[in-house]
Amino acid sequence: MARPTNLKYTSTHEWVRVEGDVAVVGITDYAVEQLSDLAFIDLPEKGTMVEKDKRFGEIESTKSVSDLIAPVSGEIIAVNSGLADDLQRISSSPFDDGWMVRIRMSKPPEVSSLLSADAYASHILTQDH
Amino acid sequence: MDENDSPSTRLESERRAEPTIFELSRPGRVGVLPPECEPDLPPLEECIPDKFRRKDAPQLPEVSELEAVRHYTRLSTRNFSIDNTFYPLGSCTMKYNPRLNEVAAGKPGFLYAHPMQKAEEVQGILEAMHALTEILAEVSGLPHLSLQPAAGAHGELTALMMVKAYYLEKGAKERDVVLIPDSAHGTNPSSCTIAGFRTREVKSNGEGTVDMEDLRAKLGPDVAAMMITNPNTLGIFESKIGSISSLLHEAGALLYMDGANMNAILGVSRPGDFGVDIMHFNLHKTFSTPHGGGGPGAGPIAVNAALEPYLPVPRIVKSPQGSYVLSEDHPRSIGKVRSYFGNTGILLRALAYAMAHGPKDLRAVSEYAVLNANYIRAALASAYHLPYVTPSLHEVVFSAKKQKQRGVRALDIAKRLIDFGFHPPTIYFPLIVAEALMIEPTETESRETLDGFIRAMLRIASEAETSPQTLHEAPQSQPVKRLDEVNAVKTPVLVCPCEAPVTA
Amino acid sequence: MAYLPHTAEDRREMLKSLGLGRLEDLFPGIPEELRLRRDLKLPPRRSEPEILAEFEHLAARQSRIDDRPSFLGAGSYRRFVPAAIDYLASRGEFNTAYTPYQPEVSQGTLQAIFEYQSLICRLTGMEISNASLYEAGTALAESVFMAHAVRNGATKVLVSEGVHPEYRRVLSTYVRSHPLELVTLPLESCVTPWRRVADAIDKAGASAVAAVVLQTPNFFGCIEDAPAFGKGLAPLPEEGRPLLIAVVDPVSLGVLAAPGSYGADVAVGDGQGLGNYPAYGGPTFGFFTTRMSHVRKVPGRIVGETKDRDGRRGYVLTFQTREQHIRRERATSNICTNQGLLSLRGAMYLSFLGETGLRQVAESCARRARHAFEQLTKIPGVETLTPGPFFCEFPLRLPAPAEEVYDELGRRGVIGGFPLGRVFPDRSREMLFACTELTTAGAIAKLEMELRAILSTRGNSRSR
Repeated sequence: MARPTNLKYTSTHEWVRVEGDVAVVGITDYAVEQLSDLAFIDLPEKGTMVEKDKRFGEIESTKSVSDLIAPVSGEIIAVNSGLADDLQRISSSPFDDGWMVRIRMSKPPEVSSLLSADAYASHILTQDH
Repeated sequence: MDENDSPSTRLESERRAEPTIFELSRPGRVGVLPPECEPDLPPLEECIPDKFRRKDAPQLPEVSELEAVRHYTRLSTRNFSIDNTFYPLGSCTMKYNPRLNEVAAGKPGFLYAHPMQKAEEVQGILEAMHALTEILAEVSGLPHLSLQPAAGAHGELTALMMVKAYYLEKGAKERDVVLIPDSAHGTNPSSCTIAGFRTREVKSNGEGTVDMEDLRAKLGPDVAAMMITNPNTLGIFESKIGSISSLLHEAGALLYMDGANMNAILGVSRPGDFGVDIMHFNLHKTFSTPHGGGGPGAGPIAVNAALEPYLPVPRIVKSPQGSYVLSEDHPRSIGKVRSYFGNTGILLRALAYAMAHGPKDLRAVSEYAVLNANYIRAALASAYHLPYVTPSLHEVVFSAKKQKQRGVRALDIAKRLIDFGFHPPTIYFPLIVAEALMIEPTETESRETLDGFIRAMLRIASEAETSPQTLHEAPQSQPVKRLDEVNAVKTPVLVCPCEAPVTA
Repeated sequence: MAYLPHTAEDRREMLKSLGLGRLEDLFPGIPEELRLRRDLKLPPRRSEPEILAEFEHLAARQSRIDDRPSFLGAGSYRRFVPAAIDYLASRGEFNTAYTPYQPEVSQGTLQAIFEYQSLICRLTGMEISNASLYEAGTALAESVFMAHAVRNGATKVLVSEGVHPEYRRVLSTYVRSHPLELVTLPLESCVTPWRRVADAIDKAGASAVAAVVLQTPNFFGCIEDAPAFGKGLAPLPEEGRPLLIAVVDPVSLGVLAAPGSYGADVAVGDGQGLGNYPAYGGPTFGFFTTRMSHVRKVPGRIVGETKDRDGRRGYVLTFQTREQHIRRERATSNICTNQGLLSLRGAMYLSFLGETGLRQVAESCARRARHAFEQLTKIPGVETLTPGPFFCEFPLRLPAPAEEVYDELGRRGVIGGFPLGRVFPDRSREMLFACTELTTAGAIAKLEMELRAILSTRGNSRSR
């Protein structure tokens, strides 16, 4: 899949779309592929404060549990609550309908430490030894 | 005619679903009944007021005794078991479960001893338990035992609670971290959490053993203990265990050993001698007690003198007169970790097993366990990737890396082995090896069995090259094929559905 | 050597194939200084007949509760175990099978567990069950941890004093490193008044209370007014309502109201009474049942129904991501067992006895216990401790120290009731008598006769 170049990425396989002072966050196609059968997602409630590089939720397949790591710090202002009943969306449209949370950033400069699409692609290659 | 009325081939009949016990029920059918009540006993209404009585009937099965016997007999045939199949499950030590142990432990004098009877009333059991503690003390090199824990994970938890108590008494609250190798079994970190510790991972090196530099880096004044398995989950002996233990002790920390792999070193090397302070045994592994489809087990713990005060109560004490008492007089004990004494029936089975082995016999158990594992290792090393060249003891870990290039995963290899009549090895553990296949044959397997397993594994390796589709479709030989585990979570059905409530 | 199939030739050839000469050469990774340089100091090997003889000798040195009248209960009971169960459960296909991680070759075990889960849910009136836990004490501890997790970190747990003292001891050990505070609810006339619970909840604030734990019948044999607890908790808003954890005797549910019917959120207990032996405490199993909404926080293994690739019905371990092998340090429980063989026996017991049989067992226990109560309370000096109803056990106050009465009964060929002073020092004259469906009228008559004789002798020898 050609990953959207307008997005930023993390080494823990989340993506970020910056919209002003809001970061929209989801997980990448690579993460989805690693998880195979998605079974459950645990997302925080609106209003929760999250911290960069700390866990903000969980996603499960039948055989594994993966943390969702916040790419930036801030307040959760929206949650894609429909995902819980329709995990398919994450597999079929990870960068779009599969979005997970919107974060109002408390430290916008954090965005600069995120990876570009190319840097992320290189990162994946080093993981797959 | 429905499916069950048509004639079938042998394979088809084995594949037919076994109805549930509820599907076999018919209203009014009666199974086994207790003795009748004498007519002059008080009527039920006088015993239990209406407001406490059950209003809805539970809807338990209504089958005849013969139907129930057939149902369970048929169910039993839908299982692999040690009695009918080779089970090279790494880390599980699936050795023969001697029938002698069942007969010995099954005597009515043991079955009908009540757990609240006094010590004087159960001297035979206490003598047996005491004998077992002496054997485990000698095998471990650690003098003080508790037989209370009901399973290995329970033993881990008990031990960690003791470690917690030890440091709390010293006023060292800050020691709240336990170091765990990245190859550890999942019970290790989860037991830490329940005992109130945080965990910190220590990496393994290219030889498959603890990376000493990483250990030094992770060892701080907040570390209470390190949990290791030795040999580790790769089957490799931690040859630097002496240094590991010294490092920890110098830093004021303790060394805990998960005894799951004791089958490799019985009479060869003793944990107490290589610096372990506290360990647990898995009697359902090393001491042959049966796994029972997932339990029961027993996880006794052995500790050194410094930790002895914290052992659970009650403890068996042999009086100078030679009788046995149960002592609760241990004020620094962590208390009880389960009701009553322990999994006595399992402890008795382990004792019977131990009594069948003299000192040289126990050592032979390990020698032949290691011989069998290495025999398999050598035979499969060309066909399967061996992630570590370090010698392994009683178990060997391969990776299905080569096969993955053809789209065949450890899971497919496991499922295909079933078609050859073998239970698969442990797969996807330890986590540090991708597509892991952990093989532990144990010492009770003959060379012919090992040869048959080797031939099957080699055949599967070649199928991976020539016809990988066969592996994806395996198993074909069982009453069911691969099952949909995703659906089991998405649309859970965890009980048989009930008919509408029936008034009692 | 025991159980080793290798011949000398096998050993030679296998070593040769490895390029080795001796078995000792198989341990190169063990440094010399760590090798045991002597034989283990263990007794010499014994043969099968010798081991059996030794075990016969050990077995003969117990005073058993089956070969003489016995009234000892206190959580472990001599019950009728259908003969077929021993035969079926000892089949190697059940007994020597492993945990069913490979479902295709474990459908026997998996279906048996699924049926067990179904049976125990029907019995308790609860929605879901796990595949079982070690025993009741740890099952209680696990239920409290679950309540703490479900109730968003509420830390107080109200525990009735009527809960078995062994289970309470285990619970207090388990919660030690956790921010959980156990508050004991004292008994009045051997039962727990709801009023006390209501006061305790008011005092703490409902949102601070994670759970209320009640045992019925309680340790003293008395039937608690559990429906009052359910009704009392019901008006509280769901987010602020403590979980009601009921500790129950599964056999009693043949006649007593099921926890599901009075609003219990969790029902746990010991499965010894379901087809297993007292066996000096173990092995046994603990059952754990609860609401479907809590499934992701339930400890232990769970089996679910599903289909295979060809659409056939089959069974698998499910919701495995809760468990330690996946969630590791984030698992809410470290348990790595289901007491497979014991819960299988429990399922068999419920199947063999069935709807009619279990009800008859429970009724028989209650009627025999009532009969014993009526006979024993006729003895001069013997007093009842509770006006309320009981199931199969009841406490009595004796005009003599219960421990001495127990010993004297023992000399007369009767195993008495449990002397409560062993656990409650201020109850040294109280004894807890249990009857089961196997307690004959003759046994009760013998107890009455001996107890009457013992107490009258003591009465006469006391100075006035």
